[in-house]
Parts: sequence; C-alpha cells; structure tokens
Amino acid sequence: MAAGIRGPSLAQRVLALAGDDQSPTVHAAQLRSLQLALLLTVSFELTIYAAFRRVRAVVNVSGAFDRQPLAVAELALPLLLGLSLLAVVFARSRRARRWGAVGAAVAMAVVTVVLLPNTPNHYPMLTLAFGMLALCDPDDAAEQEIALHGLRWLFLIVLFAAGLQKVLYGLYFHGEYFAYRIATDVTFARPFEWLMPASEIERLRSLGGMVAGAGPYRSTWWPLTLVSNATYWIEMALPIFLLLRRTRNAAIIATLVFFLGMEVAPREVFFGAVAVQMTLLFARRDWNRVLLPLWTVLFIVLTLLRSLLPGLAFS
Amino acid sequence: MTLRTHHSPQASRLSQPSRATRAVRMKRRLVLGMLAALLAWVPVHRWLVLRLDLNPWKFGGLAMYAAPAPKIGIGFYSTTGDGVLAPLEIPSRAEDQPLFLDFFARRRHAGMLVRPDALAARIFALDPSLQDLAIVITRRSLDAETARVVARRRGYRYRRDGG
Repeated sequence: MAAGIRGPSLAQRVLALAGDDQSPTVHAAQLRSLQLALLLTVSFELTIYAAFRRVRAVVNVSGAFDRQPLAVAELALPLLLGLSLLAVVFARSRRARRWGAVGAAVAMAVVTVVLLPNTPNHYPMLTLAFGMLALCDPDDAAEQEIALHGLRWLFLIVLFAAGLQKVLYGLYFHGEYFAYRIATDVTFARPFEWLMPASEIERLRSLGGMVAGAGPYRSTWWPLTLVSNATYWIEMALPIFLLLRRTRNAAIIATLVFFLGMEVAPREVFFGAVAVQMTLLFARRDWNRVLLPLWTVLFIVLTLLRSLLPGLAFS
Repeated sequence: MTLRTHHSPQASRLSQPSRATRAVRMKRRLVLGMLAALLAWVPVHRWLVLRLDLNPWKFGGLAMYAAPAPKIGIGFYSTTGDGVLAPLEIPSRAEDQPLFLDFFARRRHAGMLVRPDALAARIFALDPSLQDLAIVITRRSLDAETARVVARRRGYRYRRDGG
C-alpha cells in the first residue's frame, strides 16, 4: 500500500497565511538582510547605551538609575558586534552563518535578562526574532519558510498587541495619554506645539503633573482625541491588511508612515529602525539589503552626535 | 480465503516521516509555540501590572505608550515613644546613594517584586538606636476612569530583631 500523502497541517496553514509567492532564493536573501539589519541596529544601540551611560553617571547622579551589571553587558556587546561582523564577512559560509545566528540569539537573550528590569521593550521581541533565525537552517527551503512566516507573524502580533494594550489600559478614548504627555514632557510636546492651540497646551500644563489628584487629563481639542483613537485602531487594523496579500503593499507603506509619525515625538530611533526593518520583510523586494548602508551611516552619525552633544536626547 | 498483507521493511520506512520532515515539523511547532507564548503574555502582563505594580513599559508586555510610566516616592517612618509613626530623617551620605537610587529604579520598573529589605538593613546599620522602621512606597499613575493621577501606597514594617 502506498504511503498516504498528508495535506498541510493546521500549523503550516496558520504560518503560511503570512506567506507569499516569492521563490525560496528571494526569501533566503530577505532573511539574511533582516538578520544583518537587526544585528547592526542592536549593536549600535548597545554601544551608545554602554559607552555614554558612564558620561551620564559622571554628569549627574541620575546615571545611577540605569546602573546595570556592566561587566556582563559589556561582554555581550562585543560578542554581538563580533557576530554581526562574522555574518557580514563570512556570508557565504553556511556553518559560520548558522553559528553566528545561534550566538546572536544567545547574546540577545543574555542582554535581555541582564538588563532586567530596565530592559527596553523591543529586546524580548528581538530575542524571539534571533531565536527563529537561529532555529531554522538557512539552506533548507522548508525551514526558511518557517523562519520567514514566523518573523512576519511576530511583527503582526507585536503591532496588534500594542493596540490591544492601549484599549485595555483605557487611556486613549479621550486623549488621556497624549494630554498627560503633552502636559509633562517638553520633548514629546514639541511636535504638538506646532499644531495645537497654545491655550489648550497651557491648560494641560496647569493641571499639576504627576501629583496625586492632578487632572483630569482629557483633551478638549477634538483633533487630538481623533488622533488618539485612531492610534489603536490603526495598530490593530494594520496587521490584518499586512496579512492580506491584496492589501499588503499599501499596508507596508501605511505601516512605515505610521511608525515614522509615532517615533518623531519620543525620538525612539532604534525601536523605529527595528519596526521599519520588520515591516520591510513583508515587501517583495529585499529593501533591508538596499537600506543597510543608510542604516550604517545613520547610526554612525548618531554615535558621533551623542559624543559631541551629550544632552541630545534619543533612544 | 484470507488476504495477507505483506509489509516489507521498505514499505514501513516509506510510511514513516523522514528525520528531516520530523525536524521541520518540530521547528514549526516551536516557532508557533513562541508566537503563542508572546500572545498569551499580553493579558498576563496586564494582570501583573495591576497586581504587582509593574511598570507597563517593561517586561515585554508591549504596553509602552499604553499608559504613562508610573512615578514612585519613598517615605521612612519610625515609631515614637507615644507609639505614633513619625517621619524618619535618613542621613544623606554619598556612599549610600547608589543603594537608594538602585532600589528606586528597580522598584519603579519591577514593583512589588522588589522589596526594600536591603534599604531597611542599611538604615538600621546607620542608626543603632532605631528599633523599628516603616518604609512606605507610593506609586503614582494615571487612572483611566477619572483621568486623574492616583497614588497607591504599600508599606513594609521592620524590626531590628527581625520580627
């Protein structure tokens, strides 16, 4: 009796929802470019964090707020940098790429744990991303598909969950979160100062900050309330449009515009870079490879700026 | 007449998935497991923030920007001769600042997972006459219902003899 041919399992079908009709060669290239882009981003982020934390500690005592077991973080950092360099230089070696991916996943997990409880929120996501890249053989088409689909689903879940959490916390229905941040954070408020009536900003700033009883932090300017509610709707809707192949291209552009808009006020360069890189994984073209030189230049410029202007705030 | 089904070893091997196929299936399940764990963590994280005063911006709950990061304050008290709790003045020494600031930072993010036991031990060491100590942590956050800042206090009592 011949062996029965089994159809795709439920797991396969679920993962494949994030798939496309590109060839395995394209997928392999996209995954390698994403891996390099993520390694580059987190390496620079850790470099700036570790190198300039000492400057902050000397300048004012609040540097101690971020005090971490420096020795372990400093060990993980060069390891991550070294793995990134190995992956670039020995890109043709299957074994080197595989061990580089495993090392990056381990290093990212170590950094994530060591920095607790101050770990940046995108580090656990990066740990999972590097874990998926390490788990799957870069020269096996079936495993490449698993990594690609898994990484796309990872980003979709992150985006959707961010919107869901805003609903669960209930501080976006009347612009509460935006109102509070505009009232208490000068950097966050700066883009809004161009748009909002000065009287509304003054009113919010007069509410008393983070003192018990201060408030109510609700927007009386309807465009801010509209933007506030649009934020979580967009975060929960975009994953659906990214998943549907018919709307994927438009959703990629919408997601990129959304993240660029979101990261302007808080100046979260590195999280923004990771979000852009993960979004581009949905594209048909290997945009992460195209943008690698630009990311490199941007991060070098930021490192120089931070060393010349210690007061320059970004993360 | 009974039909006999002949099973050759080759036929048995064909009916079983290859090692490569089993490996692919296992990895697919692992990846799905990671994704399921991430999704399940979201409501768990929300519960932990409510229950343990975690900072919503930390611990990978994807709640950054869902709420402002909480602010905390610490108060130190001791029982007077009349049995009343009165504020305690803690001498400010440069060598003690890292301990206090470290606790401050960790408590702000990890909430009730971080106890002020080390602070209490240090304060008792600084003042040999102190017999009991109360440390009150105040956590201020933005309340969704009223859109006002609310304060929640957690107190810890210590005695020199460890009671």
